[in-house]
Amino acid sequence: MIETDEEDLIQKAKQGSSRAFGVLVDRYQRVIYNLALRMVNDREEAQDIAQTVFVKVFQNLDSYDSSYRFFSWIYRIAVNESLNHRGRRRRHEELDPGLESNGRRPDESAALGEVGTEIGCALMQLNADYRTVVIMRHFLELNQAEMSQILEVPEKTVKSRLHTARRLLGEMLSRKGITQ
Amino acid sequence: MNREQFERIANDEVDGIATPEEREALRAHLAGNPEARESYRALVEMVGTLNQVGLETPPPDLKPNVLRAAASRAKASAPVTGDGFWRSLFAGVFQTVPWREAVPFAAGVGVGVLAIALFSGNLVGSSRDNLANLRGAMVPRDSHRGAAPAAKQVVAAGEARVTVTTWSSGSDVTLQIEVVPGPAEDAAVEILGTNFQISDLRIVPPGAGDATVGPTGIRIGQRASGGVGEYVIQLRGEGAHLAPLEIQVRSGRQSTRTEVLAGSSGPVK
Repeated sequence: MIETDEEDLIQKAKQGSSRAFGVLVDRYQRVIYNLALRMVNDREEAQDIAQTVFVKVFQNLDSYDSSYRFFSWIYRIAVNESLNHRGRRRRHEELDPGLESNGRRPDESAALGEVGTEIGCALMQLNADYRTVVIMRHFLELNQAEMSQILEVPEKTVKSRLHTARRLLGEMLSRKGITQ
Repeated sequence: MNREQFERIANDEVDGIATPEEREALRAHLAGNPEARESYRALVEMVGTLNQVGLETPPPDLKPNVLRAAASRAKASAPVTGDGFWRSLFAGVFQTVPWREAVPFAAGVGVGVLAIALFSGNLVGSSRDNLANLRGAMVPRDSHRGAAPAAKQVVAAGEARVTVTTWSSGSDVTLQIEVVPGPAEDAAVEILGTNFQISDLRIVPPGAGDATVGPTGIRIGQRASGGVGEYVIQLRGEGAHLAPLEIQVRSGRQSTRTEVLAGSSGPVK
């Protein structure tokens, strides 16, 4: 029922309905914003990324292949945009080493809670492949088949990355005293 | 069970995808292996900790920014005809720049483009053409006149003064916008909102200025030489009276943005 409704919204958005597109934004903004937030660990950057993602979705609706699930398509755009954004930021940081690595104000860290902040920092220590699967599994609650479709890698690869990422993350959180 | 097998099955178990046979093998392995028990406990704890961190609520301006940026893209890619010249130029300002960088950029460029458009005469034209794609039942004109307004607000930018008065009835909202431009500065007003359809729009006196309708709202432009202009805009949409309208007024280099809630009208006098 939801998928049929979504197909209808996509068709209307393709035809120029800002209302239909607005409903799609409502439906996905929370998850796309949080995906970006965990990928870059910075709220302002996450907002920029989420906005760019939705604009790209809007611009490329005509090229969306409805034989694939819409969420796979939009999540893939979000992952790629987050990685590209992170790459641009890293190049910028190399030019300006004075920039803080996580770009977060102290009051924001407090608001996130100590555990959330430590997990956010630990995630940033993982390489992008490992970070992406952890975020998809634990924050977006995707299964391995869905992750495989979005990332366009075999399920076996997803599983391997997830297991390694958990081991590395477990070691980091244990050193920080977050877990025993 | 070797270390590699243990890690795979333990991870599958916390993901809920281990088979009954694997689960049984894991249980047997843990029973006789304190080190494996400790590893498994740490894995379960770590996954539990990750799952504790919930999703944050996105910033409230994310959706409006997205819709505005998307509308700008749509306008920029639409064919340019007649008096659409200035609109497509204006829309193009937002085309590729992230919103936070776009604000100061657009403030400067937008004012410049608007000024060029105003003085070149592209902003002032027939408003009837802009109503061609309007849908929805027409709200009887002047139906608001006998009722107490729901809200009235004055928005100033530079020398321009804009008075926004609203009336509402069910899902219909009437906006009366009086634009008093400064003696030497043209005025531009944008009314942004997406939860309504525009069912009527007229300008008093005709030719005092121009209003154009886009996917995210209405844009009004009035020359300094046009005197005081009154724009009556009727909106229709479920809950239209409950959602705030974003009003932006520009005059010269000054710009003011505020929100107006149509609210509920008083009884008809």
